[in-house]
Amino acid sequence: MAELHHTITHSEQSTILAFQGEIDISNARVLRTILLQTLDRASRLELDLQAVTSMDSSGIATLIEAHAKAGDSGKAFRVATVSDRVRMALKLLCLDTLLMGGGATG
Amino acid sequence: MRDNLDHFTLDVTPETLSNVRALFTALAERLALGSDITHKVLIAIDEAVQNVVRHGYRPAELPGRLDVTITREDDELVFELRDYAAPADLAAIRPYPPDLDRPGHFGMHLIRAAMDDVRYSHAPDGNGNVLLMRKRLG
Repeated sequence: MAELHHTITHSEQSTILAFQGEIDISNARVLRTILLQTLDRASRLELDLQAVTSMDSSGIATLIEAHAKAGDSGKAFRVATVSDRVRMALKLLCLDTLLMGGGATG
Repeated sequence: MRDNLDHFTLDVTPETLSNVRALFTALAERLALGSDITHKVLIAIDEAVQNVVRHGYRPAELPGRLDVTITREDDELVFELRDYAAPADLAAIRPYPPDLDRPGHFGMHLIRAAMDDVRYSHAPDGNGNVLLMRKRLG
């Protein structure tokens, strides 16, 4: 299974969920579980993917799902930082603006 | 002018996708592709191999054989991925863009967005499928 680690930090403004490693079909369920559980407990969630060296469509589908769930529950969610590879994938799918909003870096 | 760059066979499973990425990353570095093209090639290859694992071979058939041939034709890199899974329903393979209400099934769309030309066909001998992807250099 592709290696994937995560850390969760809390600030006054938001919860920051950071992943490190690669995301593909071998561990996309792990991503989904952690992301949705963290979203469930947070009122404002920022995702840090700067240390994610690759993410395929199974991982990106989970980001879309999380974005939709956040919207349905009135929570703030955005992908705050991304690696160049992930940024490229999101741009190719025209999802960068939707998921990253304004001011995202990486 | 056609230049054969590499040819190898992989045994693919969900767990070996990371190894496949490492292999193609090393290849991209060897070819000095540059970051932009490297990202696009790796994104397409990652999705293509994922498709073979998820939709090509049945779970009981894994690891599945995947023959990879990489050539350079003038200013294009050509990637040929040939599997030995059951012949796919070519009419059902469509590049759907992401559906925000039903995320999923946009892997082929991502491949087509990353590469300049993508063709999917049955293997000439009827035993498997061939994905041909082209990427212009520079």
